[in-house]
Amino acid sequence: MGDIIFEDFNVNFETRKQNVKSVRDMNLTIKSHKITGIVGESGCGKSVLSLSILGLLPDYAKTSGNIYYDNKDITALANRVREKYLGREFGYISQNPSESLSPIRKIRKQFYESLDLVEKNKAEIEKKSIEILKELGFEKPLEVLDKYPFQLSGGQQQRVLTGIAISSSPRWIFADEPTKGLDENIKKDSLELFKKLRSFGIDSTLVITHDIDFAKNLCDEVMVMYSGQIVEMGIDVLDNPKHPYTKGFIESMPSKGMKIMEGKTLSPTEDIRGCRFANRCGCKTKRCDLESPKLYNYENSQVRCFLYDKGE
Amino acid sequence: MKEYIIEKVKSIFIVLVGISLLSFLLGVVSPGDPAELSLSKYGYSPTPQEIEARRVEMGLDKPIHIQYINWVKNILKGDFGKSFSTKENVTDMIIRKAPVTFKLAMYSIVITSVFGISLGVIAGINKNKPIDNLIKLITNILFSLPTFWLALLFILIFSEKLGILPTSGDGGFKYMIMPAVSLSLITMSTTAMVMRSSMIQEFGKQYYTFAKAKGISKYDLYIKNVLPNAILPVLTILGNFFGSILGGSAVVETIFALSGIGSYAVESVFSKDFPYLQAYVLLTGLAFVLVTSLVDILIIIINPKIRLKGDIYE
Amino acid sequence: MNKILGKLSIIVLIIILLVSIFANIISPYDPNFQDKENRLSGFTQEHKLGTDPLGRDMLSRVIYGGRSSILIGVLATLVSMTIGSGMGIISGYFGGRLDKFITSITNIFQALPQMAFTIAIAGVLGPGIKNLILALVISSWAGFSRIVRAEVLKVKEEPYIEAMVYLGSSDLSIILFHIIPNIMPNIIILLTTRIGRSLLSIAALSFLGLGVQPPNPDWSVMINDARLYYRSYPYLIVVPGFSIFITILSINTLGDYLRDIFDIRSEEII
Repeated sequence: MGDIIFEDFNVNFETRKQNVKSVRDMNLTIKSHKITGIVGESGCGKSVLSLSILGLLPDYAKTSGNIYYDNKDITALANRVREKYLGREFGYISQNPSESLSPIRKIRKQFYESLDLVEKNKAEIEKKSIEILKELGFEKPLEVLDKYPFQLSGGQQQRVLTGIAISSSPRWIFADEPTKGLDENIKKDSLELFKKLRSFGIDSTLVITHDIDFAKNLCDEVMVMYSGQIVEMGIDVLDNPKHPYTKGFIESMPSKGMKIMEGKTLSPTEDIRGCRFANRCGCKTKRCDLESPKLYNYENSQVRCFLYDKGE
Repeated sequence: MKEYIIEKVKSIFIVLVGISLLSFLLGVVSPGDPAELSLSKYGYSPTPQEIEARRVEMGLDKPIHIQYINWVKNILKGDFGKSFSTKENVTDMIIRKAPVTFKLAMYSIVITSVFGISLGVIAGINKNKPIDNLIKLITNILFSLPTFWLALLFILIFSEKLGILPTSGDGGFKYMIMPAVSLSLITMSTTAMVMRSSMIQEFGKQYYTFAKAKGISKYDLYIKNVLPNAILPVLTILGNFFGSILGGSAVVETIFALSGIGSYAVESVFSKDFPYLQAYVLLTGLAFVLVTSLVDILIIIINPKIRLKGDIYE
Repeated sequence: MNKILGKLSIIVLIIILLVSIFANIISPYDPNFQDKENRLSGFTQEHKLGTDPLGRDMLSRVIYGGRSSILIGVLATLVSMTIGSGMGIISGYFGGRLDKFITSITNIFQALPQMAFTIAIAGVLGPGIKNLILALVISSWAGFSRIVRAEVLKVKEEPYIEAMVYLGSSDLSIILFHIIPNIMPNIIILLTTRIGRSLLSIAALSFLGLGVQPPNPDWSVMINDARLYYRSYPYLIVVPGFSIFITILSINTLGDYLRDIFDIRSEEII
């Protein structure tokens, strides 16, 4: 119960000129009761993946395949029904906190309307929101409530977003790039904050990030996404990378020497027969151009690379 | 913020000088001798001596820039000169006629705002659905209707056939319905289109996605979160419209025999009553500048970022 | 949906144009011939759309009725567009004090409500087609200037334009070969919608007696001629008014269609 299961799931963005395939043939289970991280460079499809669980993709996105939650195919539900999952089952912390709150409404109103889903009593709502804000490290919650978003710092805005997302006690929290644009100190706070989510009754968390250290310190399981596909997943992926892309990606981090990977990511509009990473890969063989690799089990991980195909 | 206000005041001043110049020029290029026209009455032609005396009296013997300065000075004192045809003070005529036009414009702007905004919001929320297409069709049709034809059709239907509304004259609310509706249809459909696209633009913003993800009701999402943001550009347009309705009432006033400033402007063209025409253009221009500036201020008041931080250039 | 309507509007416009051009061949009567025996005849065998208060054939007058307005509307808008776009391009491209100056001028012209201003100019200049065009141009060029300026500013920021300036291309060649082609779709759409709007203004002016003058067979003039009679004879205003409406509706629909083709969002041009 509570797992999110993708089955042959695709997301395309069709425009007049081109067809951008953002998520490709996704078959994946994101387990409940855990903190899962999806890491990858920008444009790999990780944000789109989380938005498609929530049903918040823009109208021009075309999807195919299924997403199961609690044994129900949520992609088959009517919009009206599916929207009922928002806030109640799925909470969302969007990226760019500074743009995620209506600029001309006070925090109070934006906070209360979320709590309103679970609590109708006005006094209770106020009490609860103050409680949450205190837990999130605000010393003067009442002052925060009376401010407009632009009067808060980036870190504060992010905590407010988190507070709003958890206030209606959803089972899942999806956080999109929670550390983007934050400086190192605030990142640490952010890490503590996400570790604490369980204490707010949040059962499962999915964090989308390109920040490897953040993911390594926070997540029970990490999935690496590249060009619309998961290329590697497991419990110690970032400590013990196997896929050539994961290795390169980790080495390109500032803390690991900032060795920029060669070549360019295949355009999401392009369809090829072989491995989507082959054009940049140092371990490329003939097979990589002819055949698309599946996820192969290797030690604790699953890796989308023929190097780990033991011919099972 | 301070810089912005100074810039704004400067540009308003330039615009005011500009429209006064243009209105003054209307009098200069108008055909006929103003001195003669101001003396002429039905069945009476003034003598050359009389005309010459009047020329001096009116200051028409002075160079043109002095004439302009005197004209502006008089206007600042509230004197727009005397009507060529009725010999009445133009200011008095305007004071008598303006309330009718103002009332008409108020009704029209209310209709424009209420229906324009509602239709736009409904269309935006239901983007590309049948109801959106229907609203688009209706607004396209209304947008293409000649006001005067529609007004005549209204009279045919509601006065002649159904007999429920009076055709003409100044009276209460009932007398204003048809004029106000015919006058507001084009502005209303434009408002609806702008409101719709403004809503849709907001849907592309991050705060919309986040608000939607909260799982709040449609009402909270669209009306409390999106609308206040989406309405800001529409307010500017409504301000513009109020000005253009004030200055665009001539046709409707003529058809419904409302004695406002617009219907007399048309008469003044035929009676060569140019002082009135000048006053009409200047005052409608002035009203336009005034209303749009007020809307600018209103938007500053609404937007907390500007109000609290003085951050005008976001 | 838009595609079908857009193509339909093109067909309707072509028909209207052909009818106007070949009016003398198509129309059954001379539009000014007065059949004194048959005034306000209603629909009859001889007069398919009846006759007006002077006994003139309505069908013939409707066939002729678009000629002057459409010609004046198109001409006036073309001239406004040329002046307005020219000003807008100069203002947007060169910037600086010139830009400030031109922007101030456009602000002044835009502060005068268009209808009031047009009535006043048309009134002061007196009747006549040339004066009517002049009045429309004076009151509408500024609208083009403002929008074109904004478009030019957008194009000017494109890196390749900056590169060309850097490489020393002349301003004139950049404007002619890069700026204008880039903003052309917007100008064409703007032109289309503005022709529709000019036609509405011309119709209103003619109805007030300030535009096309009687006995010229013009749709608006026909409606004005019928003002004393239309309550008893609605057909006198229905057909001419509908002709104006359909013409303007087709032009506006075409504008929408062009917007779709060029993929330009509607909020940019209103």
